[in-house]
Order: sequence, then C-alpha cells, then structure tokens
Amino acid sequence: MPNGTEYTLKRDIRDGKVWKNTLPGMWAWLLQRVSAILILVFLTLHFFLPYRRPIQFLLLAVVAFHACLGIRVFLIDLGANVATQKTLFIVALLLAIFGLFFVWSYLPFGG
Amino acid sequence: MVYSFKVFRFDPKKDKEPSWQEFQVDLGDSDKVTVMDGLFQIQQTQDKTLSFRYSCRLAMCGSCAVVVNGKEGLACKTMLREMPPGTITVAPLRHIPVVKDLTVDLKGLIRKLRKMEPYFVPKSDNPEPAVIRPDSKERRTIALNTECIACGSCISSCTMMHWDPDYLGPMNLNRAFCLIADSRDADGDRLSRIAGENGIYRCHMEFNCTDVCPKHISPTRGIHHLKRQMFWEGFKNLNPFRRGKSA
Repeated sequence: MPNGTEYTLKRDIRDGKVWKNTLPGMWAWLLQRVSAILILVFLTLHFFLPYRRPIQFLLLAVVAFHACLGIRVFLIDLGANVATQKTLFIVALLLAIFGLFFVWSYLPFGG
Repeated sequence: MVYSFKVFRFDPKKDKEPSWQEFQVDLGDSDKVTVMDGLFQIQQTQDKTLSFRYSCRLAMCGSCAVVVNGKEGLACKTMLREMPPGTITVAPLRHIPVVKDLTVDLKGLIRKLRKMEPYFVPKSDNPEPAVIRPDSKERRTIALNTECIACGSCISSCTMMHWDPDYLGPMNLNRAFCLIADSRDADGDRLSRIAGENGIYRCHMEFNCTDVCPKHISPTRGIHHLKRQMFWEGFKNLNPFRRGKSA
C-alpha cells in the first residue's frame, strides 16, 4: 500500500442491511452452528436437571434442527445438486418442526 | 430519472478513515441503465476523483465487481430498475485491501491463484488430439465452472475469508477443480496444494459464492467435488498393496 496502511472492508453485523441480504445457504450455516452451541448448553442443563419438561423440550428442539440441517449437509456432501440447496434448507426446517412435534407427542412420559 | 447513490470514498494518501458520499444522478428515461452508468455520470460531471475499475462494460472481463446494496455483483450488469427504491449503496469488494474508493488491490488474490498452478499442464501420454465428448460425464461434471472471469465477487461474499485471510477462496478452488477434474491435465501435486489448512476444508457450504456469481457458477459444487475426491484419495493410501508413491 502506498502509505503503508491497509484497509479492508468487512461485513459489519451491526448493519441491518447485512441481515436483510443474508440468503438461505448462509442462514443454514448459521443455524447449524448456533444449534450446536445450544445443544451443549441444554445438554448440560438436562444433565443436572433431568426431569424438567421445558429443558427436555428445548434440547429435543435444538437436536431436531441440528440433525435435519446436518442431513442437508450430508446430502450435498454426497453429491446432491447444489441448485437444490435452498429447497433442502426449507425441507430441513419443516422436517425438524414436524419431527419435533411428532416425537414430543408420542414420547412415553410415563405415570 | 434521478437516482440517489451513496458511494464509499477512501483515499489512503489523504483520508484517515473511509466515508460515504451521496450523489444525485439523472440518467434520463432509459430503463436499461446500470450502476456503471451512474458511476460514469458521477465521475464525469460531479466528482472527477471517484476511482473505480471497468474494462469491457459487458460482463465479460470481471473488472467492475462491486458491492451494490450489500450484494456483490458486476456494476455493468446490475440494472438500476431491479434495485429497490431509495438510495443505492456502492462499496468496494470485501476482504480485499482497498486501493482507493471502489478499487481493490488484487495482487494478493492473484498470488494465491498462482499457487494453484492455474494453467493446463498436459499429460505426457495424452493422445493428440485429446477427445472429450461434450456429453461425457467428465464434461458435464466440469460444466460451466470454466466460465469464471475472476471478478472476485465470490471472495468478497464468502465470510470464511474474514475468519481466515489465507483461505484460498472459492475463485481459486474453482479453478483448481476445473483442472483436477480434467482427465487431460497432469495430476502433479494440485490436490495436495488444496488439501491443506487453508484449502478446501475451509469451505463450510454457505453458498454465498453461488448466490453472487455473475456467471451463475457454483464454486461450492466444485469444492465439494474436490472434498469427495480427497476422501477417496485418503482410502487409496490405506491400501498396503498400492503401487506408486507411498503416503
């Protein structure tokens, strides 16, 4: 650089426009990482407080999202057509939501 | 019709910090005006010091890549009629050092591209002429990924470039894919060049590159092809009866 300093533009997450322009592929990446961290948090909570329904539900919810988004990653890794990646994101979300409520309704809670 | 532009301004020789400058530009009644037309009008009639790159002006050379309203694209191809109403923000490409205003320093990018050996190296035992049928699996695998014009939009949009500035980037890995997937190309050590810490494994499938590419290429597709290839290469090394180089 002429004066020795280098300036590089980066995305500023405080800028609302950045979020408005975020596309499904990026949301899938972000949700996958966020759900991974939340799994650690809720799993730890569940370990210490095992019989609390809200914690059980939240843990099941983040596992469902992480697993379904993981299936999308798996399919693309194996060679699925990349043009389907946005559809796969929507399908993964719907599968997670329906799977979550299906499993939660049919879990034998006993008593 | 009068359009409102908000352009990124920064002259490292004079300015301590970048700033944004607003311009009102009258581009007449045509609905075929592009961001580049707006920039030309600004430079010619309002501020001669505005710096931006252009060459062919018809989406072939890749010189004019900028970030318009937060999304990367070619200034000569981004039509103003497709922009939402309001101010149009024009910024330089991200993750690449800014030289002045909308011009970025592509030296680092070209250096990384050179590391790929981005040119065809024929195999010594290639038949002459080497025939690849247009409907062959190989040709369909490479598909349109050879159309890359090296504009840098994918590098700008990939957030992995932020976390790892040494990441080779979708543009360079796409070029490596086109050559590695080409059966006429000599194997060499291309695969080992891209399998390191800053290579294919930095791609986390954000698909930003695919979304912004002005040539509608998917570098992610190429990178995942390479990941699969690396995976099977790893299995070859496990074979104790393999011939050739040892692991």
